[in-house]
Amino acid sequence: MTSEIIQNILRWILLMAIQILVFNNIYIGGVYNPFIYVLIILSLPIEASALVTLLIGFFTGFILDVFSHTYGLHTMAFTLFGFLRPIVLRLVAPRDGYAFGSNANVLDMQLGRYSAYALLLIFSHHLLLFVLEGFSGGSVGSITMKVLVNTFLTFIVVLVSQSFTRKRA
Amino acid sequence: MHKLLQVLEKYYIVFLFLLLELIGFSLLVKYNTYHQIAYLSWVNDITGGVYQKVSDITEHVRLEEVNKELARENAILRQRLEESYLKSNNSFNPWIDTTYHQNYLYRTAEVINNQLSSPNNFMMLNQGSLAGIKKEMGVVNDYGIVGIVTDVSKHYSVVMSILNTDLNVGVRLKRTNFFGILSWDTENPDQAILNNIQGFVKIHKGDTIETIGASGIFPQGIMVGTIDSFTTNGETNNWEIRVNLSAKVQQAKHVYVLENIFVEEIIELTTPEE
Repeated sequence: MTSEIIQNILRWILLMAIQILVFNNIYIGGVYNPFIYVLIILSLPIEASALVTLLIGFFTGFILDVFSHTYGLHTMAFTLFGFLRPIVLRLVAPRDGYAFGSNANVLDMQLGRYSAYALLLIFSHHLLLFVLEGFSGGSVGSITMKVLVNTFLTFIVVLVSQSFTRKRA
Repeated sequence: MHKLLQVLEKYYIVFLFLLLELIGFSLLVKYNTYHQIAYLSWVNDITGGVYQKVSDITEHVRLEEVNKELARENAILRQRLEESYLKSNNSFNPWIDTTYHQNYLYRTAEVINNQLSSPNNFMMLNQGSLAGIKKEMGVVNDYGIVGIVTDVSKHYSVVMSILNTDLNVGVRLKRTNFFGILSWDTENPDQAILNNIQGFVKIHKGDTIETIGASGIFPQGIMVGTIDSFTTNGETNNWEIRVNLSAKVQQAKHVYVLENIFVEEIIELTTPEE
């Protein structure tokens, strides 16, 4: 239990550092950049309570906003992410539930189920993020484009990250 | 009452979610407009410290490029030395000593963080109030205008770059002196849109756009960009001009923060008396 908490805190620090220092400076095609920090909530233990997930979403989004001068933007988007995560997990659950102690990764969830889980959450997160961002400028076309392209990019990065997971002994 | 408590207990997570979203939304509304950006200087000092460390490391990678930039700048400065000017004793064309008419002070600063992920982009400089930087000062680099200082802490300052939809800059066509408003349309980080130029004004591709200097933030005639393409707006009959920005804001590393010595005079003059 304790080791699991420490593991999640370390993952939080690592992912935030990568997001702020690396991915916030990568603009594919000029305006697109992947949001790898969604893995913070995606990879939480499956048993994590709805309350904890929601609060992590709010807190993480706020910290990211502070670093990117976008007060409120990531806070709102990632709070939604945290709220939806338990719901989506239930939605894609196998008929007899998740095996005890299984993790939210490709190995334990199978590729198809994990993809549905990740795509649904990433899409809703990006949709809210870019619509909120779009209020201050940008056409419907460019917002749609950003949502779709960025969802794809983030999803690819998330999948690539899954190749680093190992089955626990 | 008991029922209400039951409902609250069952759906508390939904209520909490809505509450947190409300907090997020009020942050969004409150802190994301040009004049309302919070004076969160302690936050600036923390994030600034992190970005400074990273900038120290990544700077080495860019040294070659930076050296070229500096050499180019030296060349320009040499051109401005006194000996580069022709002295004339002709009384019809007296040589004016510009040092007595100093209007703007230039302070150098380095960009330590540069965001380009949203329609509202900011950058962070490694100089703050201790170096004399104040809010509403203009920021330029060797190629053109970069942005306006919106927030200052002791050692760092935050600049709203021209790649920010909240920033509108008054500019003019160099050739004909017609005024317009320059703003970013989020489509392309190298281009911005110039509006309010009326349809009868003759414009050409490649025409130079420069600052007016009316607000006292930028001096007159600082390069902004050149015309890339233009179309007419059917409703207003104004030109919609696409401008290639000359300052490569994305890659800006060394910038100058401009202080207008007479800015208070301008503000006093332009605000109506009570």
